Amino acid sequence: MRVDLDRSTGSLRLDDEGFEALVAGTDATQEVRADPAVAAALRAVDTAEVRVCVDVAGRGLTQTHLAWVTPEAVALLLSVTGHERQLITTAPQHLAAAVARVVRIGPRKVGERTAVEVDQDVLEDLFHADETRRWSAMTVAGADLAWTLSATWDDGERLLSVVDGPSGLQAVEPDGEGRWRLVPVTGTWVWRRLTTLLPD
Amino acid sequence: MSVLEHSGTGARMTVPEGWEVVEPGTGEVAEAVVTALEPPRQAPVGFRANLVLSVVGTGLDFRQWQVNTDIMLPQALTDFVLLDLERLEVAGHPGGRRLARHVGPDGTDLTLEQWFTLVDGAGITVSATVDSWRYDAVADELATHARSLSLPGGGGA
Repeated sequence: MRVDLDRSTGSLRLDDEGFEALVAGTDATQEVRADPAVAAALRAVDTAEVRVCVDVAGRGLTQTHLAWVTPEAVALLLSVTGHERQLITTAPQHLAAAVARVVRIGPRKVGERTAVEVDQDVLEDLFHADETRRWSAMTVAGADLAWTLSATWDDGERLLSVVDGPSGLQAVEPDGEGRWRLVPVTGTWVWRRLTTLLPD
Repeated sequence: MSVLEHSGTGARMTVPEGWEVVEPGTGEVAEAVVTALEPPRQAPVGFRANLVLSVVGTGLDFRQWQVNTDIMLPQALTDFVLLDLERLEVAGHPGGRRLARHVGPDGTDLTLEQWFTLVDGAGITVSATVDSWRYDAVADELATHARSLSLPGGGGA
């Protein structure tokens, strides 16, 4: 189990086991739990009104980032490398930017683009744990990166899935006939959705 | 319709009805910038969205001017994240649009959208800034006003 708090920076690095122990309030984590920033993060985890999950997949790795949102604060549990996580507390207004950073929103230099159909199997394999299947799906979809975001609360949710690669950012959307398609979008389009992520 | 006008060059654009046009101050930089602020918001007092029209002599070609801007913005603005950048026509001239996010002095999460063009050595930029969680609600209106930019000699709307 790892729970390392750098008191000079307030950075808390931990693994999944350490996070579970922190939330459970085990004796071994009492000193860290007393830190004001960590305490604020744990309050957000305990009382979250909105839960956000961002799955990010590249050809070489997959990561899951989590957020717990209250009116006062957001606790972010970010995947760093391998089993290493970082627990951060921020204001709810900064949630969109936190997501934009982990999914690497930015300008893409692309030419004319059109929507293309994509099989559901390919979409599912974009996030497959098996690297070969993921690599194959990325190739078929023309993607270097794929991410899917869910924000859920008591009586609602918002979902957003995007693939990113040489063809730029493309949103995964239903075509209305039971199939899926990749629709060209821009960083502006994504930012407008991220800044309207939370319920009114 | 309220108008924001740069007296030195005649560059002008519309701004939302009821916005406060701030007269430029004195000095080389202040005279190059004219600003319109949305009306004060009801409590809790929040960030006032604004439109800024700036005209500056660059001494550079378009690409170098914008490269310098791309270098300067992350240095000048806290937690700057560039979200989008594209080439498009602005006021009838080759130009571009940039979307970015940064954090204001009071910690407010801000979205900055800029439309820019270079005409006869003058770098003309319209900057719209709004608190990020209202960006989607006002983006289309701000873009409409940015597209109203006109320049002496017939460029633009």
